Amino acid sequence: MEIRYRHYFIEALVITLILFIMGFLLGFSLESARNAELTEYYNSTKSDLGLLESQLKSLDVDDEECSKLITQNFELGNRIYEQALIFQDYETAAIFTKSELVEEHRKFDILKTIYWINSIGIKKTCGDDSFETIVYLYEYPATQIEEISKQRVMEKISQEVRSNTKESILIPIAKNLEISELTELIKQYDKVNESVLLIINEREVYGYEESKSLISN
Amino acid sequence: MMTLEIVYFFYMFVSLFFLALFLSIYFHNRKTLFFIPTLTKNHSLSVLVPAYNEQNTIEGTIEHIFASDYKGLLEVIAINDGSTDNTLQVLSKLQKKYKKLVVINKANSGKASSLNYALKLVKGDFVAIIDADSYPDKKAFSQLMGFFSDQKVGAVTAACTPMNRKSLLERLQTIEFKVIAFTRKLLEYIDSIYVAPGSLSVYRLKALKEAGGFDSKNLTEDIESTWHLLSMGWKVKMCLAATVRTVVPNTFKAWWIQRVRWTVGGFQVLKKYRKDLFKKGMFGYFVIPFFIFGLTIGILGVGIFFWIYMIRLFQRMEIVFYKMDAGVPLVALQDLNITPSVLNYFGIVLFIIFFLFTIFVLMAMKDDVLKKQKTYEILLYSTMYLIAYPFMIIWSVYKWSRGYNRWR
Repeated sequence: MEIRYRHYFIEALVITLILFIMGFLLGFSLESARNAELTEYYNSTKSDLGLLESQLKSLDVDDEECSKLITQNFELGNRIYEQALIFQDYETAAIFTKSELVEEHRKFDILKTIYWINSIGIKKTCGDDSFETIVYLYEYPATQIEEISKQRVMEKISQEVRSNTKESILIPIAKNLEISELTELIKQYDKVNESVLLIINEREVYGYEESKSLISN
Repeated sequence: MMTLEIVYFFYMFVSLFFLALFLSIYFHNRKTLFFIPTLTKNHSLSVLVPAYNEQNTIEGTIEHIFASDYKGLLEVIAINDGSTDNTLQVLSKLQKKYKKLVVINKANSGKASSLNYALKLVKGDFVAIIDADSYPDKKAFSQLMGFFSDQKVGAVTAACTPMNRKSLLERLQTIEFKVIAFTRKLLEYIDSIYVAPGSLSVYRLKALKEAGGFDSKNLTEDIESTWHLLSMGWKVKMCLAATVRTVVPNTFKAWWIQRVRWTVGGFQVLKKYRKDLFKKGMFGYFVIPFFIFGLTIGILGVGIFFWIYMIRLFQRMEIVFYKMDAGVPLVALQDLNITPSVLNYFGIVLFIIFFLFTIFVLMAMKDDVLKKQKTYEILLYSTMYLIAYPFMIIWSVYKWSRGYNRWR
């Protein structure tokens, strides 16, 4: 490169670097803002869940209290599900903070496991038929297209089952993130080694193939 | 970050760098963009007009040449390269009108070969090459010749603009030609003009003879001759004020064929001068890499685009098959909820920058194009027209590998 023209190239490089660094910083701040939003969801859900847990511990078998708790549990369940969808969206769009989100995913799944345990507790206390829980278990992260396809189908099936069932809560949880409470909870089911699984009311268990019957019925 | 994302960022970085380079050169030299050196001497000038089946346009070309205000015009040599139409008859008629017109009639052998044939006969110290469908402005030669007072200048080229601007394709080419002329002028400031196009360029005969004339094996003899001059240390200049209007393709097929020929010619030149990479000053350090980037960056862009979207398409298809098998709804409202990633924002910003750059160029060119051009046409140029380029380059690679050698 001839020295007399070097300043053009240096200027261009500086301009490009400035624009790029600005772009990267904006990108980071955009993703950080999204992550902060998820952390906020996590914290508020965690405190609400804690509150629900303590309410459950001091619960008397009383119709009015049960009904109140079920409603609260329902609202929280819907919120957790909506947050899971937002989480999924942000996770797909993440470029710079993908690895951070893997850890966040685990934290959310611990929360969802506690929520499931709580829901079981409420059902035991308030009567088994008070509401239905649909737990969708999957492996995370899915990299193979076959696995991704199965998960998409199972997501749809679980949503269909949820919309066809009155008073139901859908809880999607990754089952391979070494959450001890979850491992303990699901070890009783024979299809636990299947990559995707639907557990309805802790009794009916559907692997991928069997779950299709839930739609055709 | 994944490899593909890194490649995507690299693509954006390189594109932005070249854009920034053009802007940097512009802001340092904006006052001299339309500079015309004072003509100190009327050097003897021979004009060569190679023609193959140009019966409809060659008369206008010859008329425009003789209408020039340049006083050193010595002769105009029209070379009929075995035309199968009435080109020769038109030239014969014109010969009666213009005494300085020399007509050569020969068997068809291609443009470069025709020019070499005529070069043996020229009497002037300078040689202008004009395509037989191009119309130089009255002042064009006078404006170009002034640059030769610098003894290191081997060639000077003019700003080419489409003659026909009615159809959409022609109007898109008008924008393209303006952008090309503007950026080519900017490249002059770093001694990196990579082509003195055949529509109108003037050569110092000494430099051209030193280069051995034109390479008849090359599909783009103008790029080749320019590279040859640069590799020998000659300078190539551009006069943005000197204009030549040319007939541009008015069908997509004709446009495609022309561009494939240019691109294959570019590959041939790259192959021929590959050993000069990172040698011989700006030629090896900038012109060759810039040319390589120009050809590969588009392919890289379209490659990334296809890689991402083909994979997504295959994934979607497989998911659809799975969904159909299970009997679940194929599309739900939730599927349409797409959160944009940083890459999407980068892509949008880059597109906006290039769109604004095009408008900026049209404004800087002090032309009425911007007034006449509809905004959607500039938008169309920035999207569809430029998107078609990488495909054309890929097709050219294929044609080149198959030994494509049509010069017309």
